[in-house]
Amino acid sequence: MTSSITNAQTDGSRLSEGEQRAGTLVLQGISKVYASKKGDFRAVDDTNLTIRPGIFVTLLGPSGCGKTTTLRMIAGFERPTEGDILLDGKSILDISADKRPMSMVFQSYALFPHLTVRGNVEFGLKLKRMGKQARRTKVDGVLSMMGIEQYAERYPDQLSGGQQQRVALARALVMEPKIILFDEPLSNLDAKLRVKMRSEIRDLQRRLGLTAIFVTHDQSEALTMSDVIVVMSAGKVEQVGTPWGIYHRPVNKFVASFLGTGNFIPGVVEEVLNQGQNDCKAAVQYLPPAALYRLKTELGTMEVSGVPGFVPGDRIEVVVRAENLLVGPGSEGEGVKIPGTVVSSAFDGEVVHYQVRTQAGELTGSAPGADVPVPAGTDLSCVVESRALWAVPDQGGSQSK
Amino acid sequence: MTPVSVPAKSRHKRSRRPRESASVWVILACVLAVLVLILGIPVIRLLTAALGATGRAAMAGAFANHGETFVHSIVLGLLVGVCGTILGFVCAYVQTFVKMPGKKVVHWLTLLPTISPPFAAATAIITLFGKRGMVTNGLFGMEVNIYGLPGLVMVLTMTFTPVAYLNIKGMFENLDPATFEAASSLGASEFQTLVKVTIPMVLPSMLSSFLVLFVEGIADLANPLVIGGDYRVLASQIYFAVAGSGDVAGAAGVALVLLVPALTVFFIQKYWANKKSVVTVTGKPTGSLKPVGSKAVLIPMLSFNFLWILLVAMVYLTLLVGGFVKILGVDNAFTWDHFTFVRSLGADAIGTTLMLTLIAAPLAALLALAIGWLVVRHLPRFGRLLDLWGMLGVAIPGTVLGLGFALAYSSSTVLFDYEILPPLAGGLAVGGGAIAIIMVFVARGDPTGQQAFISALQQINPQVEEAATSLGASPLTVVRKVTLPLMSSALVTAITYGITKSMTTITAIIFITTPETKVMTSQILDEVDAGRFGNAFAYSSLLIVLVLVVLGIANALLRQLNHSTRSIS
Repeated sequence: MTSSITNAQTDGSRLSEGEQRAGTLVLQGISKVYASKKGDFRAVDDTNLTIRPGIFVTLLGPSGCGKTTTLRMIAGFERPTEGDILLDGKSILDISADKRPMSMVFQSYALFPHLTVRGNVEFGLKLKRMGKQARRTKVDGVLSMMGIEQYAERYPDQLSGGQQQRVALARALVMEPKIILFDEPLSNLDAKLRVKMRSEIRDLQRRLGLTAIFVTHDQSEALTMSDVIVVMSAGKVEQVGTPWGIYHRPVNKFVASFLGTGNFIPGVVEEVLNQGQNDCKAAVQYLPPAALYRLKTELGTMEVSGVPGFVPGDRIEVVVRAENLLVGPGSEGEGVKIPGTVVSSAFDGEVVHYQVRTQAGELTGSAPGADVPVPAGTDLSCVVESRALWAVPDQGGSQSK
Repeated sequence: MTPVSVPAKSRHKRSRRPRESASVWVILACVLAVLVLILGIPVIRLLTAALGATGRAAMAGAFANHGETFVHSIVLGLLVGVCGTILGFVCAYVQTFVKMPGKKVVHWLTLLPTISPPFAAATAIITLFGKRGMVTNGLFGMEVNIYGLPGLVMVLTMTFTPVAYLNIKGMFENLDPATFEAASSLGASEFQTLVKVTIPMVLPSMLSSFLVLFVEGIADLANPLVIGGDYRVLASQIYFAVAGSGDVAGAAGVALVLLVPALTVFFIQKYWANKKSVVTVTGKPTGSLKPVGSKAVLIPMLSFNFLWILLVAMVYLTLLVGGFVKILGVDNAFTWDHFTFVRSLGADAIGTTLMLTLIAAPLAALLALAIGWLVVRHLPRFGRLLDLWGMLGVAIPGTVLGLGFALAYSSSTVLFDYEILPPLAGGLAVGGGAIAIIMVFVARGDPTGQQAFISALQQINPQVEEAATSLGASPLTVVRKVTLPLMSSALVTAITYGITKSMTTITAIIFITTPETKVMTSQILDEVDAGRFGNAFAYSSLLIVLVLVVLGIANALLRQLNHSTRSIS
């Protein structure tokens, strides 16, 4: 395994430092292998993760990266082929799903269609043999917290998607679990409602002090909701970090390309200007260390920060985010000026997206939405903001696998 | 019977639980024990008997005369398959695509043969179309010999068309109406749409209907006995070997000759034809089907359907009226004689039939539920074997299965010199042979319910069950509180088929009915044999009414159950 991955894992454990409060969940080298005739398929491959109580963790990755399998192993619906899962230091592998102190919110909501909203929410409490009075009080409390008390006697098929989502959430919350698990719960909602539910879920999690593990493939969900993001790919953890750290300081090209729209410009390290130390100033928001290099690229020679550990002569790629490649006549800013020709443009309200042909190939750039879009074929100058650039290993180089 | 197989796409990802709980193993053990008893020991005893010297000789005999009997069976199967599938298609098409008054009546009339004893139609058809038939002779003055292949094809087609009808209708209902709109917007006339779109799309279910009907056609025994005449088929040869000369081993040999093509075709149907389904279950179907208005389509379809319904109506009217007149067509004076006869002789049989049914139907449904649950949720690999084993209950022709029971349970079952079971079949057995009959009913009733439960379970999102688990429900609690309430329609199917199969079956129990345990169907057959058609008509009408009453009560009870689970909260 390469340095970048090891980094990611130490990042993970560092995030969990401090006292091991009750409710700490540890994944110890868990793997899930599906045997098939064509050989074994490792859906989750040697994953280590420590999740402190009370934080909001998002497992982020493309479909098939193993994030849902990981969640289902935590929930107890799948048994890891290798490794162990510890809650408060004790293995929970032999505890069946119905006995684990967790509730899950499903992508399809999985409401019981034959029960009313109240029936759905009190389902688990009834199994706990909670008294009728206490049950009623509790259910009413949760329903009003979710703002759905007026639908208590309706059946799920009489509710809208957003209301169903709230019922699913209420049904999980009423169990007062130590850990609440979310399996892409927002993907069936329309865009507006999705944004609203994000902040509602986040507020609830903070208010109730729950540990939340949230699975999604939607980067903006992950960025806006999480304390910690775990980026996964092909069954492996690529990087663990805060949303800002993951977005601005990706450890490799995969993470960089999965979040945001990025251009990758190849280059070679000429000189290491700074080895990279921990940014202690940003102690509140833990950040991965950043080194500073002088690079030679097709856009010329420039000073760029990046993943530590390169030596002169290493091939790297520079991440240029679309929002940092400013296109258009009015584009002024600190950075490298390059000429370009507009290939196409798309107006998206806040911004205008551009495809621009430059000396470094066709790049994706942007301009403020207030600027009138420039027609295709126009020659103009673009500015690459060097402050926001970040160097990652060349794809063929020190990438994992 | 499940009209449509669920395509792989709609099947939810199977999840393997961390550990199968003890309850799963207990249920598996029970299911296996029951399957060994009803579909294991009888089949093995049949095979050993068939492969013995006498059995092999009889097997060769089945191919004597250039394999006449064998060819007869195959020809019969093919004709019934073709006629029944075409008729089923027409009826299904009219139900789905044509707007007309009285459609519901046509629907129920088409289904009527499923709840009547198999040879009731044969008897009525002899009265209507036979040598002295009311229609052929009385109306047209012809002398037609209905006995033999023509009569058999007519009766068996009538009996089994509902199977094809339900199968194809189910497929029609699952088609996306947008397909037909697309065809018409691309310029196809309604007739062209029928030929180029509709028929090709339901071809898989027509093929599978054909195969099912083929098996039913070669397996049926009662109708060849009543209306077969000289047209000897394998099923009747088995019967005559036992009833005529008591040659059970020889019968077993012939049974094997029948078993091989029946099983082959059945499994081709189940594992190959059904896979070729083009039904789109993804997304909500948009809009609803538009009624077809083109005369080029309507005239042939409707006239065909009308003739068919006319025939069904005539047959069942004959049955009804025949019970109240002296000799229908000869002496049409009103009389209570037949019903008086039925009451004096049949009271016992009615009670017994009802009792056996009420024991067997729930057991069959329970077995079906257990198998379905194990297959879909817990044992994806081994489950296939379990599913297949359970399906043998209908895949094995009734005559053959019945013979297997007679062979297996007429004497006590012995394992390593220990008697593990007393005799279960025959007059001297425990309970007068009732136990063996119940076992046959369960074996015959299980497969349909099993299929219904399997497809219902596959359509329940496993996440719904996982949600219950996540809220603290144990596996059995999940089934009781979530899964079963969601499968109430499959439960209705299972119970309904359990009841109708038990009450109307004759073929499978013909070798194990005893004077001590009287069953209505076998008594009706006795009356037909003796030529007392009036009694048979009265008896058949009574049986049909009884089936309807029992089904009505069962459905009302099930609805009550379902309602109460919905309103507990």
